[in-house]
Amino acid sequence: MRRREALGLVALPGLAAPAWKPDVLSEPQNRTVETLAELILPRTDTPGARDAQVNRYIDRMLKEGLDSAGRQAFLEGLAALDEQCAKRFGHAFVELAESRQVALLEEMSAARHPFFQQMKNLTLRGYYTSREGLLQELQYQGNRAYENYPGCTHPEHLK
Amino acid sequence: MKAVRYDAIVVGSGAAGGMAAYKLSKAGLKVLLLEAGPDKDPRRENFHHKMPFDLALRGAMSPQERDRYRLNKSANVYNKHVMMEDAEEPYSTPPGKPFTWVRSRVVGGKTLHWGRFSLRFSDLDFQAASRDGYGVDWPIRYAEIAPYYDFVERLIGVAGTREGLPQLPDGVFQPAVPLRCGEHQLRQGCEKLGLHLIPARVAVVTRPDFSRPKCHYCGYCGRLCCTGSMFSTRVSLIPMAAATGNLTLRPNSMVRVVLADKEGRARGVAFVDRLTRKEYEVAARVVVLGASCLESTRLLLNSRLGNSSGELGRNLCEHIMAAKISGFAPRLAGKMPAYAEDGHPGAGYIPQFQNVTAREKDFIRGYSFECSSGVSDYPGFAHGLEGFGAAFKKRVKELYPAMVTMETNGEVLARRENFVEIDPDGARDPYGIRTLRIHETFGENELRMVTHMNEKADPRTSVLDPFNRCHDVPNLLVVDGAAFPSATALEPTLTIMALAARACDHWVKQPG
Repeated sequence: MRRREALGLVALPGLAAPAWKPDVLSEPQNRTVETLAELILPRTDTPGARDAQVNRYIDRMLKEGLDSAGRQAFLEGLAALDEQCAKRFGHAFVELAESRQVALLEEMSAARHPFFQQMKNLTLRGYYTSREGLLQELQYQGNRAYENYPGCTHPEHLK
Repeated sequence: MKAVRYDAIVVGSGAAGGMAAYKLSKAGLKVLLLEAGPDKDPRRENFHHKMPFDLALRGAMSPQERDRYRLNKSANVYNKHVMMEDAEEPYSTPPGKPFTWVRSRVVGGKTLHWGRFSLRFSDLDFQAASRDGYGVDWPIRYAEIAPYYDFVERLIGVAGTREGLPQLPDGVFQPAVPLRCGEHQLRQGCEKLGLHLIPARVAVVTRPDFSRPKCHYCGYCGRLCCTGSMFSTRVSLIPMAAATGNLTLRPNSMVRVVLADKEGRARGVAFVDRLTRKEYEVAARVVVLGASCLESTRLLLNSRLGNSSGELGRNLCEHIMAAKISGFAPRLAGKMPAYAEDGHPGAGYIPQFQNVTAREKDFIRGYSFECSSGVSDYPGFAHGLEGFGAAFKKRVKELYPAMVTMETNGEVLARRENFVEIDPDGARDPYGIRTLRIHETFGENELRMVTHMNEKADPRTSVLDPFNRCHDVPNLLVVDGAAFPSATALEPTLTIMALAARACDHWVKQPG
């Protein structure tokens, strides 16, 4: 996928790239991560975390970007989430109704639950550094050159 | 090495050494400039124009990389090739007193990625001790250094505005870069409080008719400047010195000791080639140290020179950047600027407003604020916002253009108990050179260190004379921040260059 992008290749039918597979996460873990990320930064009138493939970013960070303590904390937190859901609701997190998922995250967010914080931080990092997050959502337009720096052009700001 | 007779050896190629090399080669001396690090042209070797999604790990360093720069906390993916890895030059600290040392080892030194702030000191700084009774005055007054400030500003290019403030003398300025919306909002708040917010004075070319190209405002200067508009000695003083035909630049040359003759005069230096590990000795009439505050001190301590006063390495103090205050300007929420704002080479500045005319009851000296605003390539503030979901995402987008930041600049007062010494346990760097132990009680304070040779007229209490000459060794000059008697709350680089230029002029007129 990466190489195809680098070469500017366009995927053609019959020449599709092999399906992406997570390196660190299991398939069920990957689905949980994808679901959590989308709940944190959902698609609205602009792309969301799923569109920005934040799960792939997180898998890559687990492989190469986090130290072993960070990786361990994340994987344990993920397991604990499903354990708790099984205990309370008899289902894994991804199988819960979205309203229940949101309520659970609200609980964790209010309690500043360490796993929720870590998941949220990774989601923000992955999303706002992606094309979708930085260019489409935030409309960042860096890498321009100007003859003269425009500065503030709003007379109302000077008052 | 070529068998050239050198008149002068300059150690270090950053602001101090670069200026000394320029001044002395212009004066007709044959100069050997020794730089411990490699040569990297910031105009070619930079990753400026990469978006985060074009970089591995989106621009984060891997844990293995972070481990290599644990002490050098300013290192990032954009500048690490000009930053020094910890293992390259170790140092020790006493238990429980960590010390962060930002170090570059490259032709140009820290000027390749410095903050560009170029501020004149005033007599409020030079005579601070007389006013508040703490420490020592400088041996010079503003009137003596003002012509050198003029000289340096003309040479390097400083953008700014004339403001007529007593605590921040005006200089020779190129046009200032217009403030962004956020700085205008802050400025209005400042006016209500009776404070001045002025455009930052930064060493960046904004005039079309200068010796270096005009800035094109493309992005973050600290990620290395691709046009050479931002001042570094690598794109300015060093090529200008080379154009005289009198300069020999030797990168990867790690100076071990200053060599002295029987009369106690410097006769040259011994250095090791970083790449081949071969040892060399080279002679000259004068040796100029501009290796950075702590490296020049280490070199003198290792050479057992210049310390008859016992003051060498004492009074370590820093110009620090401490608290960072951030907030949102409500009027700017949801209002994206029509252009890419993040290429501003230096935004707003609130000069010291304490102890200028009235005296503060609770503290002496002062502090100032560097102010900044606008969109960046990452909304870091989002990590501090509560919640999640669609409303959270909307809030991030709204606040993205509204962020304003103020960062304090302060002074750590000179104190004898803050000092550096050669590691008493005999630790050595990979080149076999003994390393420093640094004793400072301000822990995590980062950034530029100044002061510890206490430039004074009296050789019993100081290491250097008022023209940066070593009292003990008349043909040895120390021209970097090591010469400062106090740190002040102002960025030191412009003053380091002005003093280096003045010291070299004096040496040429009256060689010791």
